[in-house]
Amino acid sequence: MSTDRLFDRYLEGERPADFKTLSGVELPAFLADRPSAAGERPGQYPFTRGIHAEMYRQRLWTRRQQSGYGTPRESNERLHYLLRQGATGLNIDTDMATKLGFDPDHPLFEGEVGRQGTSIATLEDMEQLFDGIPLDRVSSTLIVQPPASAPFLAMYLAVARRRGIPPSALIGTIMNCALTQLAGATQQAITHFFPIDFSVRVGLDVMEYCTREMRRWNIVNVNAYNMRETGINAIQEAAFALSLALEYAERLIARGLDADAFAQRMAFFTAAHMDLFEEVAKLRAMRRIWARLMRERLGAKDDRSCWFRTAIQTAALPLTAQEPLNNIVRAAIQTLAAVLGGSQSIHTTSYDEAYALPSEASHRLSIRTQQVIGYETNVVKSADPLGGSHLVEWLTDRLEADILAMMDDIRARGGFVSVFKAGWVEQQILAARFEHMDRVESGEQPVVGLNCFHDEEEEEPKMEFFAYEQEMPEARMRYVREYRARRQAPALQPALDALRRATAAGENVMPPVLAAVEAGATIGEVCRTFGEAIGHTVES
Amino acid sequence: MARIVLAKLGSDAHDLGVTAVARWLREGGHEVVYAGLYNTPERVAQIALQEDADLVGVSCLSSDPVYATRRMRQTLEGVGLGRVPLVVGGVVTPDMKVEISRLGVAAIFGPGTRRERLLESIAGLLAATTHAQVAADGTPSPH
Repeated sequence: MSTDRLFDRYLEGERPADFKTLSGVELPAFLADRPSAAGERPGQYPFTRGIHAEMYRQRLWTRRQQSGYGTPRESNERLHYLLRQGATGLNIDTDMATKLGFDPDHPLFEGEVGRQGTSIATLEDMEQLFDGIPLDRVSSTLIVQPPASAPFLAMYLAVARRRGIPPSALIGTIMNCALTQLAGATQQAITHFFPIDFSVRVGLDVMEYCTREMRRWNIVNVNAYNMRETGINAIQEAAFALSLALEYAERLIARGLDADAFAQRMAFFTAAHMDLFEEVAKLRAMRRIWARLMRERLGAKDDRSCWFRTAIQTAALPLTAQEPLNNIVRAAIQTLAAVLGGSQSIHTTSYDEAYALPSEASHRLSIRTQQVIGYETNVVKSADPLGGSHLVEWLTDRLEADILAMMDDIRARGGFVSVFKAGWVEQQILAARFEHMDRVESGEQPVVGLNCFHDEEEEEPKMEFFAYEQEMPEARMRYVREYRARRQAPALQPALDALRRATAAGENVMPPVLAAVEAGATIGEVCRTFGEAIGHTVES
Repeated sequence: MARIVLAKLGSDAHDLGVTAVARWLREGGHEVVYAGLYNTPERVAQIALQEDADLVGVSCLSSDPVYATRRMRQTLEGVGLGRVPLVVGGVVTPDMKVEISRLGVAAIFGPGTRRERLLESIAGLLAATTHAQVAADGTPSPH
């Protein structure tokens, strides 16, 4: 834009093109009415204002940066680095082969092993990954979905057992959500390798096992974040995640579990997008809705069963490859939204996200961003600091109503799993992603440094990106082959046979998976056995 | 207009970009065969053969675009489609861009590529190949 036109615009009044939130809610110029949450208190049902009375006055959120790349040994070094920088929890991301239940020598993953996360195939790998990490004192989130979540958790349990730590002492989370982990992509991502019903069943097997054996462990983390990253709005994000979580809870009750036995170990993973007040209102509305669902619909008596607990990642969709330093500012504002919204743990997305996995330097900057907010701004010194704001209370009520209406619609269509299988969720996601792209392309959705205020002549700063060891995928392939050749595992074949029978018979897969892993099975072998048991093969 | 095969290679399922590009190309009047996720280079080359593709595009986000492009280029040459322009879309760092350009790739479309630029660039590539084929065969290309 020429400077002449800019001057004209300033004279006319520089103002927003519209007054809508990212979800399309029209905001009033101001509100003068009494906020509705008057009388609600942090730490009291329905927990709109936070699940604890004192919130961060008693304990800050967990700084939990995702990490994982290359070999387990390399990832272990990064974990220790993050802890030294002030990370207070770990968040283990695995590569696609591991997530999908394949060993690193499968041809589909040629050249990609260890690139999107760390490569884990064996119990030895898991021991290396957690070398020097006290599993009963540092909590870890394990980012794996069913069915691979079963052998992955089994390996984690086996490592703990070798160290003399009982399952009941382990602290952390298995993501373990069959539908949402890959929902950023199209339906094919979720249906290609295993049938949806089977993945859901294994997910529930894992949840049931954790409920019975691991009382401090979170049994599922419904991944609203990955759905939001497609371009759906805050209302859809909340309605999809809460609908699915409710369905998991109902299915666990149908298995004979009491809501108070498991609900307090269910958790969520949500996004903090750019619309600060809407994001805060979203989290407040989700807490209120979840609490009421647990108590009024599922009959949970314990207050803790009514807690909507969420990990947050700052949204990467609004980050840009152009002028990447702007992303530092975006992530800081999003992190503030997560804090003002009362999150339990936060991953601040790195400014180089649009190019590569985080380098050590960008990982450190993410932690520092959270530390600046936690230690310098004083926003942590009073619970629910935006509570009572006319706008935030009004938006909380409005989003609550819109989310509930969408949840009713999903329910009327047969529930989330059913509408997912029918392709309805995919349609919603595709429509949203194209609308988002069109809005960015047309400039209707301003993105600073991309479709407005972008200086074409300014050279991009030279950035150092994280780079992989070129030999790593090949080395991992050789490793798993060598492992299979050298292992002394007389109990392996009987254990896999027992797993096949139990899977086919519809029994909980966790006990035989644990036995198979202890007998030396790889993640790929366990998941291949699942496939054989249900008669499902994947074209490769 | 032209027949274009698009695909995601390997296990990288980040398909926002490629589905948007598929839509843009269709709206631009091209016939697009989108092969979806989880393709090997061999499968993409087979589809390109069957569909008599005028252009092949592969998309990479979390995978290694240099490795994937090299394999795709070699596989296309292996089935006699070395003259079909190969374009790459996705997240490519400046260093990778230099390497990929050396692999005989016709164009690289990174984040922020605008619709018009993409369509113009594809049109230019198609015109150049048609021209080259006319010169080589003495007969115009059927497309």
